[in-house]
Amino acid sequence: MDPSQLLPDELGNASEVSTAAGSNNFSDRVSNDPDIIRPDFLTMGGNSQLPFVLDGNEYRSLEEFESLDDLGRALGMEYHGSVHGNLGGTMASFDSPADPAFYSWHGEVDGVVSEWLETKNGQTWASNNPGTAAMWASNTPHNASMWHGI
Amino acid sequence: MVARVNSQINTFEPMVGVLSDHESAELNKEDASLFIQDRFGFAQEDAQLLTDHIYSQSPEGVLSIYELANAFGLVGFANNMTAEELEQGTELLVNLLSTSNANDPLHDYRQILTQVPPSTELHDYTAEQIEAYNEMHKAFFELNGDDILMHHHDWHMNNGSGGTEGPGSGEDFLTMHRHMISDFEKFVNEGIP
Repeated sequence: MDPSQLLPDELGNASEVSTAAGSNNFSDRVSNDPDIIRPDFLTMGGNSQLPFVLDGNEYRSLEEFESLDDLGRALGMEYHGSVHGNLGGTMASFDSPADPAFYSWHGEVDGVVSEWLETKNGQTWASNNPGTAAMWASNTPHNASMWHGI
Repeated sequence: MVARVNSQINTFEPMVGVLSDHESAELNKEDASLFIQDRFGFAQEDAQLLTDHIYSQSPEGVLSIYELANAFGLVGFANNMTAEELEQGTELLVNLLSTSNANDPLHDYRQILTQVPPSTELHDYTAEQIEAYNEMHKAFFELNGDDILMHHHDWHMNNGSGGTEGPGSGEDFLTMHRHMISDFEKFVNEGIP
């Protein structure tokens, strides 16, 4: 999984995309290369030299996160937004769902959550929050990792 | 029971027509109860008992035929149906979904996308799969784009870029976007707009 790889050239051919929503013009995408590597603190077995720091706690690998909230704050702080920003154009705006890359990118974000839910801390959290955890269950018709990576 | 189900396969077509006209191929509880009575020979009381069980799992009060097929198998087991009966019933419902999709202009794209293995990265998609992905996104946005953009825009205006507004914001960020992805997945997999 390497989100720094280029998006396929065919993705989101502007001529193929509806303008029904009024603002889903992503022909202004600056790049098809997000050029962002997932930080070590969001990888299994990571040993990040630049840990994510939250409320005085340092997180150096994915399995160290103890709650979905902390993981979401780590994902949202930089990684998530960096890809939006580096692709540019509509992807860098709140109209980003108009770009097909939005769904694959957030599929990737969901994939990080799914990985975390397999860890001991993730499973502990899931046992206390079964309703929310079920949103990422991989054995449903709506597989959380269906749109994976960009 | 099995023989009765088998005998009804050949008379399935009229029901397909009825259901194909049903928007988004969803069934409410009353329709599902009638369907089970008509096609599986359940007594009205038994059909209502079954559908009460099935639909208690659906907060929206409607299920796609695909979901109903899955639920029918699980709930039917609890109602002492044989494994063969469950298989037959589920197969009929899945076939019904497939037949309904034959009139779906996105059917071919759905087939292509639903056969992509989970966790396949987008840059590994074939050109055909990318085309299907684009077309599904286009169709999804033609139906829902205005609402999606309004909701997404409002959410971020109130919550920042996501996960940056202190305790609680991380889970809010992830669950809201998970709902968005799930909506697209449902559209692709089941035709739910």
